[in-house]
Amino acid sequence: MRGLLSNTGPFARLIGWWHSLDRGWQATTLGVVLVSALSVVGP
Amino acid sequence: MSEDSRGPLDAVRRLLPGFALLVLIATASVLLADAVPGVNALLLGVALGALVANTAGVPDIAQPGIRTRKLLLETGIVLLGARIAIDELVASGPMLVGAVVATVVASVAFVELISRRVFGLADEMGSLLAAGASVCGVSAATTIAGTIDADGESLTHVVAAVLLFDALTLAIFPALGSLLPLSGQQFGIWAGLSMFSTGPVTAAGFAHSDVAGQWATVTKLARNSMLGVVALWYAVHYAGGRTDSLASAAEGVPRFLVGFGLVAAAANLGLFDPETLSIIDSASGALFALAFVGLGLGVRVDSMRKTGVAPVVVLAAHLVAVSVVSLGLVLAIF
Repeated sequence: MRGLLSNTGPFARLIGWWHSLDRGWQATTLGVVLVSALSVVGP
Repeated sequence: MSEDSRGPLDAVRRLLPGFALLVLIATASVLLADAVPGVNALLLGVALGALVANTAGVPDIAQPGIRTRKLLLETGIVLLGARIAIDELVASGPMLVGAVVATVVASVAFVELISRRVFGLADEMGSLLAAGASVCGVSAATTIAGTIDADGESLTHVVAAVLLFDALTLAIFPALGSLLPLSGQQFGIWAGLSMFSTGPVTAAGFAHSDVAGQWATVTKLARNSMLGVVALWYAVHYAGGRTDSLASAAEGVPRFLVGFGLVAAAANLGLFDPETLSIIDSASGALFALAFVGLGLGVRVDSMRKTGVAPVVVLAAHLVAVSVVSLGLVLAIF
């Protein structure tokens, strides 16, 4: 768990990738992920 | 960003205080609006946010979380794509696109003309005002400032003036909407053509009705997508079409339109059942509620007072002219 949350772990790399996107692409990514998740678990 | 701030726990610690403040005020707005008939939760969220920011103030620790407001707004718009009926959009599309293009072109020309010929403002200031008023407020002014290499002081004055009118129109348009005999579609398109920034347009639309909110957002997105063309024109006008200016013009097209289009296409292909659409709708509403509180928390009465008189008068003249002309246009064709 500590490795996952470390500053060099996969989540840190994901955050690094997230910051490399501009805000419009972040919104598109977050929106599509949210819609996909809601359509799977929502009903 | 330092290496030790890249960890996931650091990100949570950085964003949590401001995000918690957004949730707290948004929840208070919804509860108060439920208790007081006739009060709109979204507009109340903006008002409460502005009240907190200009009385108690916002601690520095909350700023990173509050700055997510634009991401929240744009993600809410991506989700709003699920509510867009593409067949209705296609039916109104040519007229809507025509109205948007005509309004943006006439607006840019009008502001450029009066800012230079009537008020004697510098060319760059006139161009920043024209872009901010005609396309998408602060984002447009900031993009054009980069494209034409405008100085920071001009941009600061224009941003303050645009924010002043964002606050004023957010109060005035919903009030006019309740007085004028307009359908939801008409009010939404009118607000989308006339007001400056995306957040206030969306809030004013949904304060009128759900239908108005959807049309206001779609109309405003069509206006926002003109930013690339307007930036390209300014790049050619100011810099003779330098490659770097053309590239920065292309950067002006909002990327969240891709997500909005994808979600709208999926919804119109029937990929979501009614229950899922209802949940997506609620999620979009929650994101808007948080974003609008952030919009209010960003209102600074002090900085608005520092705006010069001329930019405010130019934008007031533009707002009155465009609102009147676009109201006539909307009543005639929608």
